[in-house]
Amino acid sequence: MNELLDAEGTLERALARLDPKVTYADALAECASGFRVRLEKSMTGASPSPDMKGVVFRAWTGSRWAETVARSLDAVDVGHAVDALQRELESSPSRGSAPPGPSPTGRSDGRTKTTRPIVEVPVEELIETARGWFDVAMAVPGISNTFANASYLSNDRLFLANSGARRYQSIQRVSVSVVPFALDAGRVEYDAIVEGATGGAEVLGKISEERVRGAAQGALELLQAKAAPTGKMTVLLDPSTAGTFAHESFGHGTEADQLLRERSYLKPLLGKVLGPESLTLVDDGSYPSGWGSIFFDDEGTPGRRNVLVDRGRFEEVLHDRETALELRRSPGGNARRADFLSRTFVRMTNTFVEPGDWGLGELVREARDGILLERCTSGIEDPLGGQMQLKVKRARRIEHGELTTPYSSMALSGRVLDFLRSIRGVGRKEYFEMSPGFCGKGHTDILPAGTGGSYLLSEAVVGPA
Amino acid sequence: MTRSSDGPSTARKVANLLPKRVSAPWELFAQHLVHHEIHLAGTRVEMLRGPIELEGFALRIFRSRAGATSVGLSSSNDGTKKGVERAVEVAERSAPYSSFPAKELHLPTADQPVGGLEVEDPRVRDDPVGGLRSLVQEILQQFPAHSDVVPSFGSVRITHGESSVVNSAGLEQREVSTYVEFEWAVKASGGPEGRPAGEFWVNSSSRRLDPESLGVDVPRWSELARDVRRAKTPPNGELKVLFPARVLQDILPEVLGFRLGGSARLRKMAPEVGSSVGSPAVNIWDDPHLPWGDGSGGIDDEGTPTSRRLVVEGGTVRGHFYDALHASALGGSPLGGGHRSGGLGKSWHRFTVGPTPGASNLSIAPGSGGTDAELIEAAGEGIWLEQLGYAFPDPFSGAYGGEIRIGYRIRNGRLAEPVRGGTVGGLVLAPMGEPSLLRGVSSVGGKARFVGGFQSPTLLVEGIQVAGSS
Repeated sequence: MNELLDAEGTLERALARLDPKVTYADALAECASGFRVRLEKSMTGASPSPDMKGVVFRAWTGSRWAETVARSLDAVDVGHAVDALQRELESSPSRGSAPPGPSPTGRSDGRTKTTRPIVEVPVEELIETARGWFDVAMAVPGISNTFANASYLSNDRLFLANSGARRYQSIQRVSVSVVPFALDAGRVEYDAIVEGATGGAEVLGKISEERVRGAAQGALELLQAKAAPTGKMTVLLDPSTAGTFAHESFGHGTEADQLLRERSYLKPLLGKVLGPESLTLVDDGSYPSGWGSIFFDDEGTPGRRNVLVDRGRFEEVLHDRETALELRRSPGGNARRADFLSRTFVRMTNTFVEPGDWGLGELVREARDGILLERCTSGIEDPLGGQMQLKVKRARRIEHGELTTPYSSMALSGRVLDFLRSIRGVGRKEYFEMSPGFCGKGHTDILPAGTGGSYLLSEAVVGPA
Repeated sequence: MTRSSDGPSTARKVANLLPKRVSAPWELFAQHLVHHEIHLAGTRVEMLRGPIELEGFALRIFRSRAGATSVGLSSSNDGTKKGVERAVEVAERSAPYSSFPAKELHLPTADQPVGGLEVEDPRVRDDPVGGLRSLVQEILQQFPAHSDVVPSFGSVRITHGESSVVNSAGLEQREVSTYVEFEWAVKASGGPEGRPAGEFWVNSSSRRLDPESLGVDVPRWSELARDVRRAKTPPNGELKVLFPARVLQDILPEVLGFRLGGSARLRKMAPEVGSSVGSPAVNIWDDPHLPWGDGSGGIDDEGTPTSRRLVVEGGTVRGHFYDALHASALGGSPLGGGHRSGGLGKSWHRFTVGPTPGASNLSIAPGSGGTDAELIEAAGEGIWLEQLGYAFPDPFSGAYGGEIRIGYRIRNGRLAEPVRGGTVGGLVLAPMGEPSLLRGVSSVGGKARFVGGFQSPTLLVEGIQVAGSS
């Protein structure tokens, strides 16, 4: 049984009921569910994610988008939502005018590729997998507790438009994490391994015993960490931090709705060289197994690779159909809704720094004195001011070209353009990692977004955080 | 608070559909919500959304097993008979795999009258679209024509809703409330050629759709946006820092809500009652009865009546937060500490997340430090923090900090030039003898300010690490 496909006829009939004068209308129906297991000392949690379904209808009134939401896929609720949309359209005298940008016509059926769908993995197996990680971490002397998590989110969307588009996608996002804790006299420290991808059971295999033991040792090391240094210095970002740098520094600033609101420091810089030749930044909704990958966005445009910075030159921004028209580009597959309850914004998918040609040892020696920032936990942008903030769980001093003292919880702050100009090296492909994350537009509308990169050497202000 | 008598609550309606095989103990939390949004690009209304009506519920089925409690969970926005049947199946399937160290569970039983709290703005209920338009208009009118400061972005999201709880112990509670989320950005530009524009970005929340409780202050925002343009990187080193309530709001509730809660205590991460965590000047209450507080309510999300409680007195821990499960495991009393925080980026619906122990409205008691001007004078030299990029506090380690979006140097006991960039951070809680935000408090202002679900006077904190220009 597939509730979305079962409701397709109802949705088609609902769209057909709208005033024929209306030039464009679409429906985006969604079913979301999921499951999470967590093992920790004396506790096991098995939590289904919310089972949510509904549909949002959208139509062009002639001057703006109007939307109504049905809280289920039931014909009665759908009918009420369409009636409400019809009433709003009737109040608009200009409803016959064309909407901005090209209306979608494509038809497709996309499903997450895997040899073993995660929904077919028994709960017992998820728990046993997590128990394996838990046991390995707890066997390390000094570890007080460990969170071992395995979870998935299943998200199915059906997009229909009166312009002829019909797109269906079924995406499973699987994430796993192990967080060993070390406690001492009121101090709580931890280290973490986090992996996530669109896929199936194969994602469970991304955490090895060796990595779990490494994280446990990391937690113990952080328990003894000294106060972190402060000030402007050479910084070496690990792949997770370089990925968040890509997302916060360029990603948000290249969301074209921010350009149209005159809210991006990058707007006057389009076409200019901003960084070294070694720097290429990409947003790619079609990245294989990417956490933020989509088959189509919520305007029916297929997800695709958009090169934002090509060998140092700022070449492209991210579009929905409206911004694409304004800036004379084509829609880039970046119009995303957090869910059927939320509006579309221009959003990132998987944003990453392409790898370069430096080895890690070479970057550390090149840094000579500075700090390696690892295990990025968060970031935030300043789209107009061009500042960025990145936070990491751990760091390590670089002294005389060697990694030395560990530190816990640090933040990086700086002007993006200064940071770009100071880039001295980008790590090789062998270190490249894609990380799962969640991204907000402002403080709301949170949705899955992947970030990625290799090591990246530059300069910034850092301090404890 | 309104105790509606208009028909059965959503939780009761769903409970009536539970199959007979569902045996006690169980609990149903439900919400019926009506949501509206307005989005602006500059001064133009970009989109008006709503009414978005949502009805959802969360079911918990508890089972005693081998000296522990297993909890079967499910949540859904499908309240039909078929949807409820499926939710029961999901909860029953998950229950055998969960195990929580509570030997005996005590669900709240009392259907005590609760009331008198102001948490429902009638304007959000009766005229949401008119209210949104009127608020936006009122704000836009405050921007002078041809000014160097203009609005660049804004969104206001309002929700009217009823939350209800029914359980197998006979409890049946309902509360009606409203909630407003507010984002606004103002941009300063012009002046000398080539000087970049500056933006001040406001995020706030309230129970009421009115400018004052949302902290609307266009002249002040304009001044801050202008100061962003001329701000310099702060100095580097250990400094005295003044934290106003709007900065503390992003730091303390998240860390203290967890570290003083049953979840942390069960994991041996919580400071025990009687242990010192802060300066003797620090007194912290949890006050669920603050008028219009984001966390205010007569009951918590498990239906337990709430009460005002002292949690830190003179820097010493006096109490913890418990929900029903953690209270049962640790021998405490729930005392109304079971909260369903908003789901990922969706504070307007809470049925999608399970209850955890935490604070309602943390409230730091005023001290003897006087006005903000007197605190600045007492600091002598240091930094006034106006806004951090985002503190992203880590509830486990207690670490907090981030980039200074805008602040001011304090020189010779007065506010001086604006600062921006660099970072401020450290630990909220630290072992004895180590520096922390709470231990470093040397003076507490005399007047508490109320911001969303948090109330505090300005705190003067010594020994804060500021990272800036070397």
